Amino acid sequence: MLPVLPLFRPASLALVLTLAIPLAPASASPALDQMPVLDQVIEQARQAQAAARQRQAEREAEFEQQWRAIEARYRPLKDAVDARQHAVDALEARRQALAEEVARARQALTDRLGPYAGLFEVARQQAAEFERQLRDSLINIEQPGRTEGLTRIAEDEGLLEPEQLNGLLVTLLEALKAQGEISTFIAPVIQAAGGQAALEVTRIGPFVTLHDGHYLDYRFEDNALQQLGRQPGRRYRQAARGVEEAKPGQAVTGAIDPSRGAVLGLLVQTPDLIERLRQGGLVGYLILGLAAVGALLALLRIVQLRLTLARVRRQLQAPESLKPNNPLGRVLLALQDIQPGRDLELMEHRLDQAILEETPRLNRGLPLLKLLAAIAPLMGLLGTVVGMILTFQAISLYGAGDPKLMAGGISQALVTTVLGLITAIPLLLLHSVANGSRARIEDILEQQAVALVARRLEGGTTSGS
Amino acid sequence: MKAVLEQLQLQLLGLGDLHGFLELGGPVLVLVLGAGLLLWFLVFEHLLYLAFGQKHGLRQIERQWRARVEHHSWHARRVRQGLISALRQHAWRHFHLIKTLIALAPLLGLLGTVTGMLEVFDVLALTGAANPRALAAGISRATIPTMAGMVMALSGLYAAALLESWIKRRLRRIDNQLALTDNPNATP
Repeated sequence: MLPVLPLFRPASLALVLTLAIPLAPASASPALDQMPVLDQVIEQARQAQAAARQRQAEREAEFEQQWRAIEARYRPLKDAVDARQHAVDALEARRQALAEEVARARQALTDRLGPYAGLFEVARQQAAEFERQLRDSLINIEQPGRTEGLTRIAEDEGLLEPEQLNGLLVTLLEALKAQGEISTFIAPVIQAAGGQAALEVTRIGPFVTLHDGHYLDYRFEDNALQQLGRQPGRRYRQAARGVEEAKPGQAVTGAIDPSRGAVLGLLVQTPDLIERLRQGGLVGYLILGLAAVGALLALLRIVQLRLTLARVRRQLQAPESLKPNNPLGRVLLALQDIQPGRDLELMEHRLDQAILEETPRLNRGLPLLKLLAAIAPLMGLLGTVVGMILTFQAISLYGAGDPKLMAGGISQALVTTVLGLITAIPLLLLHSVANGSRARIEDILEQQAVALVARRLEGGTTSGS
Repeated sequence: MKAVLEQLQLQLLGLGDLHGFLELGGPVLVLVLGAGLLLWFLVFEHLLYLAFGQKHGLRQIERQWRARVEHHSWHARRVRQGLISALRQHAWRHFHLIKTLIALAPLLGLLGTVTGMLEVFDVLALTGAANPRALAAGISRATIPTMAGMVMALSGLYAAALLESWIKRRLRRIDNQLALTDNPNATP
């Protein structure tokens, strides 16, 4: 227990002692010879206390020494910091003074500038606005870098140099001239197939660029020209060629895009024939199938009837040699065995019967053709209704705010109507042609066959008598 | 200067405008004009035939009819019918085509209407409804062929009706003429 004691404070030592005192009479019987042991313990505790005190003093001295050393190092640093702070304060004061001076000077400048300050502001605004206008103009292709000077003027805070002001004027005048002129130059063009080539292009003002009768689209993000995937009508392409080949001073008719590329851009987005057919949907394909069947049937019937008509005509020219390969020949052959001078009524009956037998063959397919021609617009109507259903579905889902959402249904409605009409119109025409041939053949059978028979009978009677 | 004057002359003659008109009306207008030209060609062909071409055939028939000895028997009447039938066929030839073309004209106009509306809705789908000027091309393509189809149908209807009555009257007269040539004194 003793070696630990110096670490304890005197109070805890006393506590230990008071604990130890009642312990002694309890552990051993009180005896007078035990007193020197107690004295010894007290002596030892005293010595320990003295040693602890001395050690404490030593430690304190040591700490005191360390404190002095740190203090000695800190003092000059503190002085230096204070000195610097003074310098900073002085500089700050000077800065404020200078700022005030600058403000005064600026005020003086504005006072002295007077009306000219507005002029510079206007020049700056004009430059900014003008730069915005020129940025997406296709004249940049021919005259690159003309907006850079404008940008510098627009962003310049200070006084504008006379040279800059003149430059603004020159750029304005140059742009004015470029807008009114037609010029030809070499420029990089992105081909429709991809890849770039330097081609000779003709530019009409800021409106349109042409190459070899083709219209080019200007893409200002890339500062490049691009061949349009779809070109406008033939007349405009010819006009473009005329402009390109015109001699100076010659007056030619040309076409421009006053929206500076927007209209030509729309041109590329309009769907072509295949895309249109696809818009028709299932009903559209059905109508196309119907059209194919109808056209095949009509052409077949027209060819057949034409051939028959030609054969009938030939038979009419040569009534002596009756051939069974045409209706007239067959009708006349049916009457052949009737003797001249026999009952005329019987003969007429026979004739009627023979003609009646021929009519269905001539008529074959024509009612179906007419039916197809009548069905086609009805199918178109069906497609229209289907498309309208789709449109109204779109409206009920998304509301009527955006016409773009309804466009799909509407184009199906209209495309199927168009398909129905362009199926019905030729079918009606073809039916009319075929029907005309049929009517002529029937007319020949009904009127001229009888006449032929009558002549033959007459001839028979005259030759017989 | 001279070139400008020439351009002006073209404009005054309306030749430059026809081009523009066709361009405004779109491809359907070309179809309508083609059908209209065919219609009027057929009408004039009929008129010319009735005015000049038919006389030759009529004279031939009359000669054949006069050459016959007797004109009253069953045979004679049948032969006469046959003779007139040839002439009748010639007179009515292609008339059915005229009628079909007239019936087709409103259909063609309707086709123009629908294709034009299709273009209008395409533009709507691309630009939205904000710009009504962009719709102008589609609207002119919708209305001009419709108008042309109507004009063609109405004018053709009138012409066909006149033509039909003329042909019928002419055929009746031929019918009478052949009967009149039968001189009762000539028959035994």
